[in-house]
Amino acid sequence: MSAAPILRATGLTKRFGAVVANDSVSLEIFPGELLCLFGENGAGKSTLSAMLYGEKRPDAGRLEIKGKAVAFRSPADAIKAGIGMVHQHFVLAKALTVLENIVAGTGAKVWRLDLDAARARLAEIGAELGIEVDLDRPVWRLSVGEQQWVEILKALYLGVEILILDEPTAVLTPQESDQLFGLIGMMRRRGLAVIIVTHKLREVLQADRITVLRRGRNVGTLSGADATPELLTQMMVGQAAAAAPSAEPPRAPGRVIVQAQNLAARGFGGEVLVDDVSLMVREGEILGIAGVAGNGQKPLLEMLAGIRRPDHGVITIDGQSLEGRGPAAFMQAGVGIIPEDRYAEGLVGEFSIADNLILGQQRAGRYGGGLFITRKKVAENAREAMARYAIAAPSIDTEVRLLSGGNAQKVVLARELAQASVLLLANQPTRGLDIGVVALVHAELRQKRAAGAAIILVCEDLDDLFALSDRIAVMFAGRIVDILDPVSASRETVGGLMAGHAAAASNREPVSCES
Amino acid sequence: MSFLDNTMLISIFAMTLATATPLILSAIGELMTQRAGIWNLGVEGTMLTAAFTAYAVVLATGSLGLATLAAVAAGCLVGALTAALTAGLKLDQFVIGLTINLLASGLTLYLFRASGTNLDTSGLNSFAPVAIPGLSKIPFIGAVLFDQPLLTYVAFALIPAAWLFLYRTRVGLDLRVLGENPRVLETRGVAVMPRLWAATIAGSAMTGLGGAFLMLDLSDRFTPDMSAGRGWLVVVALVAGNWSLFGTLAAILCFALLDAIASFGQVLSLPVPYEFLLAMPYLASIVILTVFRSRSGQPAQLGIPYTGK
Amino acid sequence: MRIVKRTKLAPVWSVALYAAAAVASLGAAAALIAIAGAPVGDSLSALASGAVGSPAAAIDSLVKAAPFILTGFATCIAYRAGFWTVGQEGQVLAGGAAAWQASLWTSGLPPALSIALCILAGMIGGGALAGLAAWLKIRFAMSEIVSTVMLNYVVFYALSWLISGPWMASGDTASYQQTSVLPQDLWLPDIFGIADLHMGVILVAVALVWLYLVLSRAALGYEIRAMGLNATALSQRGVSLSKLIFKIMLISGAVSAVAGFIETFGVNHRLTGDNLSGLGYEGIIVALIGRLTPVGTLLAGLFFGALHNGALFMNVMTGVPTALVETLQGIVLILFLVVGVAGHFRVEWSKQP
Repeated sequence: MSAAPILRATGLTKRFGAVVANDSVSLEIFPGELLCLFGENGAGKSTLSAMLYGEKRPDAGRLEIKGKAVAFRSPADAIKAGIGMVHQHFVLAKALTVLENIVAGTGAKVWRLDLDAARARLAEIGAELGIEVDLDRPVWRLSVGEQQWVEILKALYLGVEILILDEPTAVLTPQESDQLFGLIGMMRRRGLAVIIVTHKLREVLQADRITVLRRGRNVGTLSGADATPELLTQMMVGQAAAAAPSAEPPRAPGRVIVQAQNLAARGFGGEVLVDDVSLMVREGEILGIAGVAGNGQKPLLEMLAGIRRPDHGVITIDGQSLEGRGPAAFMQAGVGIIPEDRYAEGLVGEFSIADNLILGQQRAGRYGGGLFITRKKVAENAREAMARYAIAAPSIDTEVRLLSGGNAQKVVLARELAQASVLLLANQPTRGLDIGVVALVHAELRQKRAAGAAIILVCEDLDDLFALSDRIAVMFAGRIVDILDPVSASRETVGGLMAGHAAAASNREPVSCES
Repeated sequence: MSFLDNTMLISIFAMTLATATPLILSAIGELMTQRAGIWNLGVEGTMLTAAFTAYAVVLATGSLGLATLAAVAAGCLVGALTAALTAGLKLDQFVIGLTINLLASGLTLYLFRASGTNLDTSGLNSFAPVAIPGLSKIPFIGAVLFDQPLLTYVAFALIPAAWLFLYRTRVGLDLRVLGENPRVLETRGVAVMPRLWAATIAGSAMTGLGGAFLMLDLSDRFTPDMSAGRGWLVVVALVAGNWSLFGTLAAILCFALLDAIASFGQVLSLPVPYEFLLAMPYLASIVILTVFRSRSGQPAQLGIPYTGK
Repeated sequence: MRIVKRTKLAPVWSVALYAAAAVASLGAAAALIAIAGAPVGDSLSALASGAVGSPAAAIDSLVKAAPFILTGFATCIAYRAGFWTVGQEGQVLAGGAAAWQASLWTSGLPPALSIALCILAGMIGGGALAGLAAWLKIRFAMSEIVSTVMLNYVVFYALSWLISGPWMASGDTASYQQTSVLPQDLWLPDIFGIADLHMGVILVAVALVWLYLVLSRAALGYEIRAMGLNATALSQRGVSLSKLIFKIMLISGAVSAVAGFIETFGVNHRLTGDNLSGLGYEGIIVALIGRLTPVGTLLAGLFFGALHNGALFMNVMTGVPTALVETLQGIVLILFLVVGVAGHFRVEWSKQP
């Protein structure tokens, strides 16, 4: 590592209206170094990296590359200065090939497309770093991990000296994450400076130096050697970690409400989404499902709600056989679902709170039954819900798209908790919500369980899963690889199963059993 | 008289190619626009506007060349308007396309009636067929393929040229990327807006050229709404051809052939009503779309307004 | 200088912008009239007096507006649900043709019954055509834009064949085909005996009330609006989208068909190749200008009906072609769309580019 930093930012500030996303942040990075930008959701990491890459312009502050001051007007300037970026949400043209994606937007000549030279260069880079990707494959055929490689190749192809990776392991299995860090190591040895933006403790500990952001400010930079999880957590949230929730009194399991056997589903391209899943849930029980996003959790829940038709398999809910029926039949059987994307799947943004609360029930007897909707009953229902769940909004007629994420989720919750008399399916119900709303969701789930419903909870946060679930199933590659008891199982075991390691011999419950 | 007479067949096939010309020209242009992600449904209106412009200029100046240029310019203007409203103001592309069609229909009718003219343009030199020496003497094929107006040769030659453009040039690659995910270009610092405008204007310019041919070669006079659904057939051909040049060409040739058969319908004394023949291209398009359903070639951004800078 | 998105627009600005659009439209009309070489002032006043200058004129304007207010309603129903049909044109023809055929079949029956059956037949004809487009979408994922345009042409040629063949009025030559005239007792009677104000206008009023109630209070209206805004959420909550599309199109097609019926039985009293043309497309524009609401569509429709009527008089007085109205429709729509969006932006002068 040489003495002079290759990039130095001083006092970078960015405001969006009244919100200060970054408040006078300074940092520097040296060639061959791995620097982690660490902080919670909303700490300002993404805005900072956007400024470093020229996607946003700082309201104040200086940026120096190799000692020279620069002002980026667009990513093109950043690229010229030798900075490359791999975004959290891939920026790829799925229908085009890998080569076309890498070459798009580059090249000095306007007309001639020199694919052969590009291939040669990519072969070189690939050989040096040990990455192997078929250049002529359309991107939609690649796995998520392979798409990540393409994103990295895109940056390396441009010959960058500084590489920014924004939450690179969000969609990778632990195995793929290790591969990625190996690759980063190789790049560092070639003199590349690498900045990783992340909120995962485990990754941060591998860095040379760590800059911690909290509420838009740089609260400190420490070396990797000095960092400990406790210290980092404290810097990140500004206080010691919260105490673990008190233990729940044990409950007697009830009768089996949900039984699914040999469920399977395939996607549009024929790829396997769910592969021979069987499970059962009793009344008054929460079954948690752990797994890296994209291993079949969502299609599984969709089948259990009737939204997706299984290719084969049997679904029995409260005694009724429902496989192959549509969502209306499942709703009538008392199934509710909190979808993963609340705006795209659960709400009509331009409808009022009151109208969203009756979505699906507009023909129910309760609201008029049949042709016309009784406004009074709808309004009553809305007022009750807003009071019960403390939904903060000017009135029941406020359009849902104007609400904050937390309040919008409360609308979904209110509706689905009322709907789910027998089974509640929850897909990442606390994603992107702040602490107060998360606590409310947890409390509601517990209450629903106490009332005797069965709950299936898909959650990427292992802490939440361990706190709420009575049993934890782990999904990998469309299968349930094991079902564990949270009291006795360890996070390492669960993590390993999530990554596809073979199921441990001890602490196993039978995957399916007669009631 | 046997209706499979040789001369009859030659005439039908030759006419097919001529009829297909404006469709091909327009389709190449519209393909570019759609590959950039813009659903330009105003093709019908653009073609009509260009045809009228060609009519007006040819009456005023007697020059085919000027009329053609003017038609292309008219196409560019309509394209610019479309780009301003769809790429610029992010208005709904379907609504804008429809509006442009209706505006063109009304405006051309208005100006036509206001001009008080209704002149027969067949007296002026229309695009005379240019026989390719030697090749046009080949029996049957020579008369069909090699004795066509110049623009027809141009249209067919443009197809491989368009393919080369899309797949072998950098501009073409960027265009395709635009229609799949404009963010890719954004994150490379390549400006998206100018390219959207260029694709729309260029596409409409091609349609303008097609409109010029329609007016100056295929017709004797200007009639209101003379584009008669050809613009829509272009859109259908793109969908049926799954956004590939050669699939689109196949669909267009099919429509043109049916059109040509209809023109000869009375002479051929086929056992179906004349109106049925006229309706054939439209019926055929529905049938084609039920059979060829794959839309895997549809650009991912098609119809979605670009929300970047 | 930068264009920045506004978060809220004060109503004052909204009104001002639309007023500006209206003024611009007037300017465009004047410019077009000038291009035609006619005196602008005289033409515009002829337009106005022809439109609403006398009770008779106002009635004529209302009657002219009726069919495309109906096709406008048909457009609202479909577009609010996100189903972009352009088939109103063909459904009008199908409705008129089916009603005509029914008039031939019911010739012995009492006129009131006969008329009722003709309306019914028309609605079935238009509904079936629209239903076909819905089926093509559901079964073959065929874009409704494409299928309805193609079907419009097919229906047009089919009607053309019928008029020049089985339905041709005896003694007509091949140059202008039309059916024979409807028997007088099937002509729609006038309301309260007011000359030329045929009963079809009542159907328009009924449709207005019905559409308003459905969209704002009925479960079907809720589903229509939800489908147009977020079909995914609606279908995941148990509503079958295919059934809904079908229902919507049957209704939309039937409403357009009624437009064909009232024009044929109330005004033209016969079918020709083109006396029903343009009503579908006009309804689309009117509905778009009226922002897809029943009242807005009504107002826009009345306005353009008046313009059409006035343009006839203007043509007689100063020779301005009646196609001015179609042209103005397109211009007004573009201006309104631009204004609707422009209000969301404002120009910001700042130091940083």
